[in-house]
Amino acid sequence: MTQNYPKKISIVVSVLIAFLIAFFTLYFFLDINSGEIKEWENEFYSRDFHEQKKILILGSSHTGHINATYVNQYLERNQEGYAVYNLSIMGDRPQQRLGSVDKIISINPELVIYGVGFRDFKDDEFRSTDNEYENTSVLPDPQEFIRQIIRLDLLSGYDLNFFQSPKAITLKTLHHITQPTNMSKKLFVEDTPFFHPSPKDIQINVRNSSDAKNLERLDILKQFSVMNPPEKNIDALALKLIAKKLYEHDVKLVIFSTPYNKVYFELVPEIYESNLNMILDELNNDNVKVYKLHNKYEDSNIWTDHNHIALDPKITIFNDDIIKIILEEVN
Amino acid sequence: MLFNTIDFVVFFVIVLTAITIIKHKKYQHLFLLGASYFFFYYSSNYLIVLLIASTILDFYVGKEIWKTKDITRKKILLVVSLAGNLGLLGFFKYADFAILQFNFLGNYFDLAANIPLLHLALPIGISFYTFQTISYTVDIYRGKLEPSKSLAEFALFVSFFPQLVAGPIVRASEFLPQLREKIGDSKIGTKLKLITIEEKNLKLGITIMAFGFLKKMFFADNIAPFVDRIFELPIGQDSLSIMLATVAFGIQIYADFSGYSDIAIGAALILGFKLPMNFNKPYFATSPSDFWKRWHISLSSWLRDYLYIPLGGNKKSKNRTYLNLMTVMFLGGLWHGASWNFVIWGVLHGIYLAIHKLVSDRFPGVANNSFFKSRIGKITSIIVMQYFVFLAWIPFRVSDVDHMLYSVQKYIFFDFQTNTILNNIMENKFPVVLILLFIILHFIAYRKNNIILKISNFGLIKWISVLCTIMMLIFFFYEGSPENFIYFQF
Repeated sequence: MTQNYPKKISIVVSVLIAFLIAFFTLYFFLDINSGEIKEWENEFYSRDFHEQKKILILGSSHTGHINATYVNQYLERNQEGYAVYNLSIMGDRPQQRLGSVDKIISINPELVIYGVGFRDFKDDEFRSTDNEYENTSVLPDPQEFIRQIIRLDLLSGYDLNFFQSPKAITLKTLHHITQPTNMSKKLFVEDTPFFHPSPKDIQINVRNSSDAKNLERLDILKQFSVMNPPEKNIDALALKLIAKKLYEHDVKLVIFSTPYNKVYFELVPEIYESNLNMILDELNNDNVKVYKLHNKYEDSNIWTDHNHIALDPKITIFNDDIIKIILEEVN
Repeated sequence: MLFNTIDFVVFFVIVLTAITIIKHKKYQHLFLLGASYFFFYYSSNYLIVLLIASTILDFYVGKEIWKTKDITRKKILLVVSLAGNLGLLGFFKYADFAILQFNFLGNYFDLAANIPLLHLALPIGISFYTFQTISYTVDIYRGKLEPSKSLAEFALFVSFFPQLVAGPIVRASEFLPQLREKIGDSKIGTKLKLITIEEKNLKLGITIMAFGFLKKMFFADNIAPFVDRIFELPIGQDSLSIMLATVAFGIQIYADFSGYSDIAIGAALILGFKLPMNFNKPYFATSPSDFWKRWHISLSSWLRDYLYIPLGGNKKSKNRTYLNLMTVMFLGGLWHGASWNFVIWGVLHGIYLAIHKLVSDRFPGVANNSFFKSRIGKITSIIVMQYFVFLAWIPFRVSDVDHMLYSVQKYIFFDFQTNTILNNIMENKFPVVLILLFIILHFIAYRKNNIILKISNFGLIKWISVLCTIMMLIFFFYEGSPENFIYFQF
């Protein structure tokens, strides 16, 4: 048996070598190919903004559908003297945004408006097919114990989302190799620098019909592995840290919940809505003003899918509400 | 605990390290039992009580059955074991299904039946470990197996973590001897075996696990979105789209489940335990009976030994044989889940088996016909068989009745349209490429036997290259969150 040891060790070392090669290849690949946003961020934050009074809109694609040009035109007509930048990033979550909060502070905005919704607080980890027992069990939950330990990583400044979806970046890169285009540059909008919508985001696609319901059901349900309540929710904690950092640097923060259509609410378990409300209420208790828009337009025929309002220029209801929030907060 | 999570990797490394460090046989076995219970407790919490209850019940009942000479008492004890195990399974898995049917029938006959559903959490792995414990007591009852002398050993057989959640369904006669040292020709030794991680097992086990992860995380998880997209709303899809999605689901479920089995078999092998093979290139089966010798082998052999044979097998009349085949497959379908779509799947396979048996009985010369012995005959048999196997996957995957009927209709009655297929391919290029790639690899594996064994015998540089390629395919196409294994729901 002892003669076997060197061979066994060489097998273990081989597995480690294979893992390290694969891991670092992925690491460098992601670093090179997910650098587009970083490039745009560097370009944006290195501008000279000192003359401007800035309002920043943060969030994911849900807030990316806010038309910053429309908002700016309104503010300009009313001589408010503010420049609004929509800094939404596709797939953004508070954990990710925490990494760029210092850059946001560096350009000294007057107001930050952060749109958050269900997907910002979902837990990606699969737990079990049915979690009902977790609420009733008197036995300790080892997964929760480990989660508490890993949560500390959040404070160490690592980008936890670096490996969030290698598949999306791999497929995007393969797509660019096979069909090189310069679409992203063409769609670049000055006041929405990090979010580049596709043409299909303009149309109204979802009507509250049974067909729409079926089409959307899968996408909606797929988003929900688990959404933890505030005390267990790592993104809620990240959002609190963002609020704390902005407060320490005298940057005013308001939060709004991003809107969803009726089909979404019919399919999403009630517990998720109550968890979202609890997270928002906790932030409100921490002196962050919260606007709840998540079910405000649920019956309106304005949706490009279940949680994105169409970018059709005729649809202004969401943009108008954002303008109202801005005016209420800056005046 | 899911195999495809970092949690499992950490857990497994800790287990291997501890097993290597612990030199005392008894403590090694106890540690492995503790680790297996932790594995289950990690994701199932208090439901571990059911696992322990089932273990204790069958350990003591098994002992009593062995001890007693009284046939009636033996039978009563067997019934106690069966009632206990099937009671657990029935209550947790089928209670709501039964209530739904009762309410439906009650309302149909205007009895205003409205029993509220229980909404019980389905204990993960219950279908698998109850079948293992049933086989244990039945084998003792039949005099084929001597009961385990130690509760800890029996508990390890029931809860051994690699196969606990989704099989392979292991027989005590296969597993218990592996816990003891072999002495001469005796099947079970008296001394506990020292668990050692052997070089050969380590390399082969890692290779098997790597291919399991590849099947699950690269193929199954990346084909799944295409399948979901089509079958979530199949109405309006053309025949080619339905057929492509059906083939995709067939590949997805095979890659998912055989991937799980491979990881289980590989992990067990590293620890020095041999688990039975669960799949043997099922999509190259030439007949229904051949398919069930290749698909979920541990379940089909369990159903044969503990259900089909006790029902009389093929020893009674021909009609009784057909009925037995139908009954076994009906229950096999129901075993998968408390839903009519699984029953339909099982019944369809029952019909295939019965028709195949009927044709073999009526026309015994067909099997020996030179056409079926020829290459083209074999290819034809495979294609025809797989057409029916994939047809049966539709009710397995699509639970909505209207959607199921529409999909089956489009699958059987080809519509010669291309309304949606081109769009589906263009929007799902990656899954479609994976489907083709999987078919090619499956064919290569069919032609070249023991390909995994050959790879595990590669020199280290070559072996590292294979592992590295597998890891890169998994890493680069990882969606961001681990997907559940399909068979966990059963």
